[in-house]
Amino acid sequence: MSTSSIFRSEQMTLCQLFLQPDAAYSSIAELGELSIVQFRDLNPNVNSFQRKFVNELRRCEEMERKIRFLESEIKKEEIPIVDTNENPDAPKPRELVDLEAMIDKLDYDLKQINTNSDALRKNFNELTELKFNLAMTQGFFQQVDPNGNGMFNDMTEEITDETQRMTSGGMKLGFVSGVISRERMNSFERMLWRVCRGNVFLKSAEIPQLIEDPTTGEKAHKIVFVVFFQGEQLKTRIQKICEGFRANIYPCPENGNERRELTMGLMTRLEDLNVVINQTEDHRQRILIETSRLIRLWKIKLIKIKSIYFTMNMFNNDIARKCFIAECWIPTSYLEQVQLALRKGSEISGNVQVSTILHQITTNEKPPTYHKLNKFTQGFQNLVDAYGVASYREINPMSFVLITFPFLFAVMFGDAGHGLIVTLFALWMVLKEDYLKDKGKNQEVWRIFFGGRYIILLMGIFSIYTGLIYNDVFSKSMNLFGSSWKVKFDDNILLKDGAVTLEPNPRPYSAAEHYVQMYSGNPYPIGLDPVWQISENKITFTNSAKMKFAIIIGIMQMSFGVFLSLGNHLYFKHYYAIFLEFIPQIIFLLSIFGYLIILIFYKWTTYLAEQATDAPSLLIHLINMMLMSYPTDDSKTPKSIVVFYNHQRIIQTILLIVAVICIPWLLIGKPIYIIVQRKKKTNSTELVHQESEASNDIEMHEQNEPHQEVDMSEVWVEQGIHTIEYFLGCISHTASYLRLWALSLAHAQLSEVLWTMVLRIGLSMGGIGLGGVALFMVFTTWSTLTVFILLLMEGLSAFLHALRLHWVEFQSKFYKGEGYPFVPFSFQSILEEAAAEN
Amino acid sequence: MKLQWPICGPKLSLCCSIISVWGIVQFLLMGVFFYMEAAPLLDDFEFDHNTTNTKVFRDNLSSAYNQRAHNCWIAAFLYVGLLVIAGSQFMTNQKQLVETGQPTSMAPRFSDLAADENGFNRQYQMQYNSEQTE
Repeated sequence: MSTSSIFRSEQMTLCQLFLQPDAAYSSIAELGELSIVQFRDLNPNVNSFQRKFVNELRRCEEMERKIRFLESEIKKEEIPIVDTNENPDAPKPRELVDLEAMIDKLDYDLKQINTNSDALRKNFNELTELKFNLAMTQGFFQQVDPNGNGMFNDMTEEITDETQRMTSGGMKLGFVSGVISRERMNSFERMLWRVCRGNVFLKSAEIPQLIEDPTTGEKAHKIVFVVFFQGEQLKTRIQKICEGFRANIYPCPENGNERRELTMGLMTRLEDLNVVINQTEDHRQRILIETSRLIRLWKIKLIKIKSIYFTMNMFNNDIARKCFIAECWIPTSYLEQVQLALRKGSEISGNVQVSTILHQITTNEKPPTYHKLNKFTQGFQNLVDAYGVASYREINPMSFVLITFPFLFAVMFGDAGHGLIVTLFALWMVLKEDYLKDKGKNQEVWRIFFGGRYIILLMGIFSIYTGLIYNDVFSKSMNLFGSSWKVKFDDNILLKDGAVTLEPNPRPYSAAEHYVQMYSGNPYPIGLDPVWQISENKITFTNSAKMKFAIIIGIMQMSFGVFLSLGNHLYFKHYYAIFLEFIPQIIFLLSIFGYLIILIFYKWTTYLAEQATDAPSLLIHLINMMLMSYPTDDSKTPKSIVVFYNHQRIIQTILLIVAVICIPWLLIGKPIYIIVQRKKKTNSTELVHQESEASNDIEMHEQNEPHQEVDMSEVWVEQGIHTIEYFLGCISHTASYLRLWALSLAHAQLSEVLWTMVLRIGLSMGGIGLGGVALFMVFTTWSTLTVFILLLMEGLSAFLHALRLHWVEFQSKFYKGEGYPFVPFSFQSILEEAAAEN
Repeated sequence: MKLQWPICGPKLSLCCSIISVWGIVQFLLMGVFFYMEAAPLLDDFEFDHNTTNTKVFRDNLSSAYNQRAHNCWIAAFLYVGLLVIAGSQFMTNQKQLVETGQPTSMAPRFSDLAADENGFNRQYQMQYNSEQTE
């Protein structure tokens, strides 16, 4: 018997690994690549700071921090990070030291370069500011005195002779010059005026060039100013104001010659600085380009190292035996591969004498649930898992959902035109899979669509099928095989205004001379006859048909679900549950609703057009069956509500009684079984107890532990709820399947409304030419609305309803969903997670 | 002729191209169906049916169907034109994307306007050091 199948999760084994300390690292690395082993934390109570490999982890984190710094520097320079798609092996522990040294050195170098370059830049900016300061103050002074000799001889008109006198009188007129950013100039000026009570004179000019701010790297407009004033007191005040407004004060020699000299010196210094700055920049660029080539590999290596040490922290450290003990879940079918990987791991570490020991242990613990999946089944499994992860070895509904989900969706979304568009979209995603895989990773909506591309593809294909059955293509029917109806009225009837009735019966019309067969006798080969498209009672007809489809599909799916529960009972050897749960459940469902389906098929197949009025009204018959009241068969009661086959009364009464018997059967069956079992057990355990006391076996105790007795009242309550849930559920779930009809009706009507409201504007225009242009315009609106309302909105609603029908109506019959997922230790998934975080 | 500059962006041109392809296919088929005088399409237009002559009635119906068929084909033709324009725009956009590595879009042109220009928030730590100038 094969242990793996798509119907159940993989069989798991709890294993103990005895790892030699030397071989542990490389063995775990091998398992990380293999990614089929889930480790259990053996020190759950140990704080993460007290674990064995906390030092290594800390070193890794330090390195990661440095790498993040390097990366941000690279991004600042807009250098592309090389992605070679290479997957390096986890480095050996001794390589860690090399890596650390390399990253440390780079980090140090870069920081050094950065501080140097910052200082140089700062210096450069200051000197530039000073240069402009000098040049512009020169301008101010020259305005005053073209000769440039002694600027205080005569100032502007504002500072008049008075000042001159004061200068000559010993009072020195001083000035402060500096550079301030343009935004602050206004308030600076006002402040100066107020604080100095108007005793200063300010001249300013804008620097024609933008000056870079060394801290933020932004370029800003700056203004050169000169403040003239009198006296030391004012000078300190002005300096304080300058400080407050973050203006940089630069000294400016009073003498014109000195100024010129200083300017000359400045120029040479600036040139030198420029050269140095460029060289530093080149050096930095070279280092960063070098780093950008390796940084991705380093990141992967670090993540791997970190995850290995993190895993090793979960191990038990057996000092006496000098080995690590790990516990892990492994799918039984992969045990061989794990053993190979472990052997390879110890070979890599050079430790050949003592290899890792893999020891299988038995446990009462519930193993994790692991399904073997591929890219096709993954999406459907996600739908199931969103409700609850399957209990261990429980029947996995995924393989059934794979078909029923797109089918139920399509029943509600039945339109071949819409289905075709959905299919084309999904087909594009499937065919361009490899190309699209890495696109739009951070766009959530796109990720959802792309992740469900196979689901969407199947939904689209099924929609085309149901669309053909409903004969709806963008709400229009297609007459592919020729309608089975021929309109063969004579002119008298046709020329009368109003509707005519097409009768399937061979009944002569009053106006016609002789009867003409209008229905060919052979039904339309597939789906609805296109003649319904132009008939007035189309909805009445499709409603009746679609409602019956919905009930038939629903009952079939629910009883299938109940049969799946039989599979679970058999597999888990709960034979009592077959008799106490499965049989009453299925009998109840089939004796009422299964019977209804039989009646539906009976009605469809036996009543011909001539007896159409006599056909039984099934809803009334069902109600009568419940009430056990049957109308008397006389001429007054319509034929449709009278019994229509022999012994109908007796058969229906028996079915009803059987169904009613199922209720107490299900309600008290299981609790009574449990009571009986417990009685038996107490009798036998008394014996065991006497023996075990003698043998004094400790392990006996452990094994008994999980069999904790549940209180009997709890069993009763639980079974009561379960029973009510099932029987009420059968009725409400059957009604719930009517949503298949309701949504399909809504979809068909909506698309018809869209066609008549929008596209008909263009179609109704007569004449050749204008109508074509109108069609061209109107089609844009129609196609956009079709995509957004009919495909996206209606599609989403049909999707959600299909999902609900599976989760609630179908899976509640057999699916527990109480398991927990198998999360193997895998480098690949850890790397993907890390990539998603960025 | 290749348009050298993109009038519409990559998304709009792609959208227009897809709608055009859809429109061409649908209108060609609808034209054929109207030409064949398919009954399900009868609801979509009015025609003069207040006549007692069967032949006149038939002729009116045929000509109404025929007009719709031609209108559909005209619409299909117009969509061929749109497809040529939108397709060439899409190609131009793709080419620019390959050449510059930057999608032609309005966003980057205005993105720098949003940057914070408030100089008062900046830190000016620089103080003049007289030794530097000497």
